[in-house]
Amino acid sequence: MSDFDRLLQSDKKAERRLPWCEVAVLVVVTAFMVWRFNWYLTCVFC
Amino acid sequence: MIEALAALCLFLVFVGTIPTLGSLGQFLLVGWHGIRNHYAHCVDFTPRVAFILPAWNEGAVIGTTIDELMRLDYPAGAWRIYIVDDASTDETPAVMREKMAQYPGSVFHLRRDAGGQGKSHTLNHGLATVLADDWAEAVMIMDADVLFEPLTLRRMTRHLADPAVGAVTAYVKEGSYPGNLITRFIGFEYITGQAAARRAQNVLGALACMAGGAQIHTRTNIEALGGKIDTQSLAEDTFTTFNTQLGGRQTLFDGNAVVWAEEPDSLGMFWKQRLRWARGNLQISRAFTDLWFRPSRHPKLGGFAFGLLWFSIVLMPLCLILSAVGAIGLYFTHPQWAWLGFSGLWGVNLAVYLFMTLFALAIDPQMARRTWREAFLFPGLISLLIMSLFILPPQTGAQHWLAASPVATLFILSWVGLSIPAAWLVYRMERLGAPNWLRDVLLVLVGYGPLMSAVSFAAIVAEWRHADTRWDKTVKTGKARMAR
Repeated sequence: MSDFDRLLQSDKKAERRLPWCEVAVLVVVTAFMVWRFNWYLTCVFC
Repeated sequence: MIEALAALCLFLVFVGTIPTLGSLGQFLLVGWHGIRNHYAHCVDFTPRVAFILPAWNEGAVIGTTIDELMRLDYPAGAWRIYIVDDASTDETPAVMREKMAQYPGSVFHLRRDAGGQGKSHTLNHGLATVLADDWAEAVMIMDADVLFEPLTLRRMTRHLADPAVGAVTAYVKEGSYPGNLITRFIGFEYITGQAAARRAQNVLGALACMAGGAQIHTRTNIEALGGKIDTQSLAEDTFTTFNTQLGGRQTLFDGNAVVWAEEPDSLGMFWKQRLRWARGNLQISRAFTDLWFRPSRHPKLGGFAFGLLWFSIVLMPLCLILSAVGAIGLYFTHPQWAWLGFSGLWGVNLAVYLFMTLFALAIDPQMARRTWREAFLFPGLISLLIMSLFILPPQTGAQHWLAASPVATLFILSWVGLSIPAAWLVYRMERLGAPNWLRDVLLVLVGYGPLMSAVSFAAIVAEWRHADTRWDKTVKTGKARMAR
């Protein structure tokens, strides 16, 4: 494998990390908001 | 009648969420970049590259910039550096003589006898020289203080093998050492505004702006643009970006191609730089009136998503001020709705703030280590306090406390808009000589986000009044370092 290919593979790998990071952060923030903000949904919709 | 007025006010409150939701939409696209990117089309392509660096009194930085460029990992003799000296009156010519002797045949000094017309005129002088012969196959437009990592050029040129691509821009990181609160705020802002936003724009297929500090063009693209860049506006980078795409050539952002730059370390310099950028964006909005929300003109730039994104940024301060007006109106017409409406607004703000902050820090862990405190303080302590207050359930008594204090209530309801003049006051205090520690304390309270909105508002006023369009250069002192 050439230096160029190694560089490209490493950058591709770095990009592939992004969707997983995004999903993880979304799950954490959604869980926090539902836990902390459920009173609001109750006020508005019930 | 009162009900209708209250409904209008509630609508205005939620106008304030448009910029937030626009940013959220953009951030949600970032993850897709892991799947939908241009890397599959990359090949080992190393065209002959002419670097063009406009320089006006850049003696403090130009030597280091050239030294770093000469360390690039790229085939020998395949890149040249053209410094376009805009009639500098400092030691720039002396530094250039030294560097030309040190790197013969690689570094060239183009001297303009009459300077001061601005960056775009200086760049055009360099472009005319570079395009006069057929040596250059690609042109890198950059700033005199920008430091390239050794592999950045290779990372950028690998995209140019695809004939559909006209230009590629790099990720500019804030590199001031040791830096201060303002430079660290900017460092974090660049994660959100470049590393995240421009990846999302890659996915959308339309790039809003290529960084003026590092953009490489194919020769074909520069020639198709007429061999020169726009000189009529304060946003020549954005004009180039739009015209490249409107000409049917793709522009790309490569987040792994990194350069380092010195950004403003005072609010005075920050204001000058950002006012120029914000006015430039307004000039672009006007210049391309036949493009917005018209996919027939360009399927991506004229698309609804890109238009919403563009105007939610350009008109952000107006959205926030309207939101504050709506909240105050609601307080007087329908207090119960005011509580619910504003809780909803700040709830959205909190969720988006948490998501964007945590995700941005994950996107660039290197900058996250340096700027995580500023990341969390980005909206300002007052906004953070309001966010925490408004997500409290009613039974905690927060509503009763607020109801008992109309002044506090009105302050909180209007803070989303009030924070803009407050940020302007922090800037004015620095200009009037307030000590840096006081400026920093106030900036942490008011927030960096409101400061950006304040500059945008000032830009709207300046364009409205047809204020002078002049190029205010930010001073660089050579504080940038590459984090290796």
